[in-house]
Amino acid sequence: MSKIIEFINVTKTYTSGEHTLNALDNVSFELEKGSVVVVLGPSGAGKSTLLNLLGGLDSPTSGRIVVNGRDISDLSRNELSDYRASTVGFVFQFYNLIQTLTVRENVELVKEITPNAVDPIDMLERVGLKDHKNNFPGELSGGEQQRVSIARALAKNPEIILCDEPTGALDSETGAMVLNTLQELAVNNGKTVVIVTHNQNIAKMADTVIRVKNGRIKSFENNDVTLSAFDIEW
Amino acid sequence: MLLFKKLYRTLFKYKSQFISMILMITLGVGVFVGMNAEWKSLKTDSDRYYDETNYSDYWLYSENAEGFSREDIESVKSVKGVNMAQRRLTVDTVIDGLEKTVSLNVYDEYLVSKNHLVSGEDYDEDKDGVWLNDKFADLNNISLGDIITLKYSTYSIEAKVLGLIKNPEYMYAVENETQLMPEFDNYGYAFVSPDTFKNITGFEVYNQILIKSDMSKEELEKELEKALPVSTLLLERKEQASYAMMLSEIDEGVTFGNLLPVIFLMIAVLTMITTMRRITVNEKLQIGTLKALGFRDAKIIRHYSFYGLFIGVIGALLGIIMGFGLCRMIVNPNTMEGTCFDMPYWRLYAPGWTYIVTAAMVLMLTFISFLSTKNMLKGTAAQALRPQTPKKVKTLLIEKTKLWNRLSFGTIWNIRDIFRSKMRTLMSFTGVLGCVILLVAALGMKDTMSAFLNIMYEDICNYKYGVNIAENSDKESVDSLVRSVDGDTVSTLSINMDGDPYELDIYNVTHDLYHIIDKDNKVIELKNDGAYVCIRIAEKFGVKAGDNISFKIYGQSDEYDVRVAGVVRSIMAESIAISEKYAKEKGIDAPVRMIYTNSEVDSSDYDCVAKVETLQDTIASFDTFMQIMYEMIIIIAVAAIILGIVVLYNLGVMSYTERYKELATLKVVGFKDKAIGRLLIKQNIWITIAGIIVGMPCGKALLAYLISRLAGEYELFTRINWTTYVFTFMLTMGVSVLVSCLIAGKNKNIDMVEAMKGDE
Repeated sequence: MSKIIEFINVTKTYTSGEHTLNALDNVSFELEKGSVVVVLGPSGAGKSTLLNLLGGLDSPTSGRIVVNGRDISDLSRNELSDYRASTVGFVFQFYNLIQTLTVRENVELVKEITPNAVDPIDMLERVGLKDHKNNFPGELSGGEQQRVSIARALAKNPEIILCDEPTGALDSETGAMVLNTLQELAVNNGKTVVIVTHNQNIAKMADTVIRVKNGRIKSFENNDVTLSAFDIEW
Repeated sequence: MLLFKKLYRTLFKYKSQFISMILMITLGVGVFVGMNAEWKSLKTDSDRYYDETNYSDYWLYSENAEGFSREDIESVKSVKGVNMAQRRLTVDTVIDGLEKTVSLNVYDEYLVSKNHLVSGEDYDEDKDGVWLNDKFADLNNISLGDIITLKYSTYSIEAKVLGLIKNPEYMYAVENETQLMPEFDNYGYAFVSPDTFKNITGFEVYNQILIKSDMSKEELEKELEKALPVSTLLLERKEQASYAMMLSEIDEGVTFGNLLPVIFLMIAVLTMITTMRRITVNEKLQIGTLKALGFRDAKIIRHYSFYGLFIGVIGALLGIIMGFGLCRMIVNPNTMEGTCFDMPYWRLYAPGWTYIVTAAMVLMLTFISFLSTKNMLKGTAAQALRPQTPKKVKTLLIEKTKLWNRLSFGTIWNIRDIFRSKMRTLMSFTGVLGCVILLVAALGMKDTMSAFLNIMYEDICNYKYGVNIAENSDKESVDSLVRSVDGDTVSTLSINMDGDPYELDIYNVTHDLYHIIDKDNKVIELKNDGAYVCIRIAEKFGVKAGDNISFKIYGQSDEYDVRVAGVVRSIMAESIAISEKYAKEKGIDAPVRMIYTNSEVDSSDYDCVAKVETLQDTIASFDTFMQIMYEMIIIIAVAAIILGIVVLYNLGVMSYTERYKELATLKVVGFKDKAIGRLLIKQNIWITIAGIIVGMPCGKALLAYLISRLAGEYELFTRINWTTYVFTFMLTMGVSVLVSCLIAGKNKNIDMVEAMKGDE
């Protein structure tokens, strides 16, 4: 397997008034293509910051982040938009679907920004929601909405899928279904899936587990044996 | 109190919405108070002037050269119902050295239509001197103590200026009816005592009687007919130029005051309702938290109602200040109304009910906040804590069509958003609509006036010089002058139809110097087979070509019956036009009043010439009139544009705030700032175009209504140039795009990380 993501001495400092906070403090690691990565840590540890930097929502204060051989640490706003449009797909705790668009339209909208977009219907079929394509998000359950947001992330055909507490708002059964979908993407399609969570159990399905605390990496482990999402106990 | 701190911080949080709401109310109340204060001030100030000077109720004119005798005035005084009466002589004189017209007045007693003293000594019939209009004196550098000479016929009245005065009868001082606007530097008026006049001229003639009476014109006319042996012409206040102009100015103000501000006020209130409701929805969690903490509903409601009260009070106060400021721009001795009216009083008053309406509006705003908050507090604290569930999106009819699938996602998103936020869309639409209506009406007013002047000076007046003939001139010399200058002539008689006075103009227009125009503003030939009535008379009497009308000439007892040959447009006076030949046929004879010519005439060469004015001079006086119109139009247009900006900005911010999360999502997904900006601008442009399409015909209708209300004075027509439509379109579109860009610019600052977190 080849490396797809590289963090080199990355520091992110937030300043508010006289206070400065190092959300990430000199962090370095490498991730393999097609792996499922789980980032664990208590709230405030810096795991969301890590995800935001990786997703191009924010830029590091110092250090370099290399994705697919390209340094993204110094990109302009527009270049970052392009990066987000072509390389990463996001899945959020609260789905963040557009309420006035139907399920199908929510997925379809990525066609406006990337030439690599794949057929939205195929993506919906893949997450098992093809029959709901003409429903509005408000008419679906939480798990279904989260799967729509996965379909939207996939429709861009990105290399990397970033998930921020994807099961945070779901019950265990639907949570497992969502995680299973994500796992399949890595195993069958070679996507790199990064999941940020505080739920220790999810780590059991990961190829790589990163534990973060106080802005630093506490441990970085590769699992030899991974469980299927359905076998995880909640 | 802690809640007070929260109040302050909430105001800060929604500062752009609160500021725009305050601006809306300021604008609404400002235009409302300002436009109503305009006419109220004119009314109060002019009434005070009339009362102070004991302004005459009726004017009785003698139709013969001897005027009114001592017996006549005694008979008038003894008529029951006549409270006061006094004789007066008014003649036009020329002031030596300046060669300008000064209307000279001689009162046999000093009771009615007295002067307002500006400086110097008050009028005294025992003193030998002259009392001169202060404005004319100032503009011609004449001061107290100067000696002036007024030439009348062959006499020269030389006297010292004892006092500078104003007289209400000359409040709107025009020399003759071809003038639209007073020229205070070219036309003045003066008073001398009867003794002074008699000593110089040797005669004592009074051609008018001024009467104070509470009787109606009909009653008084009947009584005077019995009391006096001679035929006379009785005019009431509203037939007198100064009073009539002031009255129509006030009427005009009432019309404007009742119409335009309503548009502003309504939009202000409607915007308030929407914004207030939205803010409470956004604050629902806060409201729920306070409730969960144990605050009583009443306390929470009071807290939130205070926002409405606060905004209302600040907006209303600023609005009243702005209203008076606006009013001062118009009602000002040195600017707009000051160029029309020469008045001593220029204090500002707003009608009492405008304050009541303003207060009611503030209460209503408070009530709106009250209702919106109460709505959020329904049910238990737990329910109040839950975020407001967004309205369910319904499938629209057009989605079933094939076209739908081909629309871009941005279009779909905007269409659904418009239907989901119907109220907000309606508000934006109304804001644009108001802006367009006001712009079209204001600019159309300018087009109409320009077209009106164009017709006057391009189609009607084709001469270079207008020669005013002096009263009682020798017919022979006038005729020889007409021949020598190849002139066209007009004679004017006062006629009576059904008890109301009208003008009969007898034209001899064979040299193509003066034209008559029809309803469609086409020049027509005055044939010798009948009379041409003006549009207003045709409508009032319900006559058309082929019908007959009859009238009496004042001072004569014969009744004339004439055939109506056509309907013509008489720009100013309500008049009937006939050719000289037709007049002769009917046995009507009148002295020439005016000669139109292209040859230069020196007034000092002819005794019969009172004054020569060039067409250029007359056009210049119209220009002053237009200037006032333009200033009015600019005020309305600027207000309309501010209205558009504030409404669109307010609603734009609201829409932006509500879609914040969705915009952030798009940004995260990879949309560029510009693409998101375009989405936001798109919706505004649609609404703006809809507002423009509906607003243009509405603006035209408003203009037609305003013109019809002004039509009492002039025979106008509505004209809107295509440039007005283009200009309105570009201006409104410009405002819309500008506001959209301002709001779209905000999306640079969207905090994607924050927005992706859950609802707090």
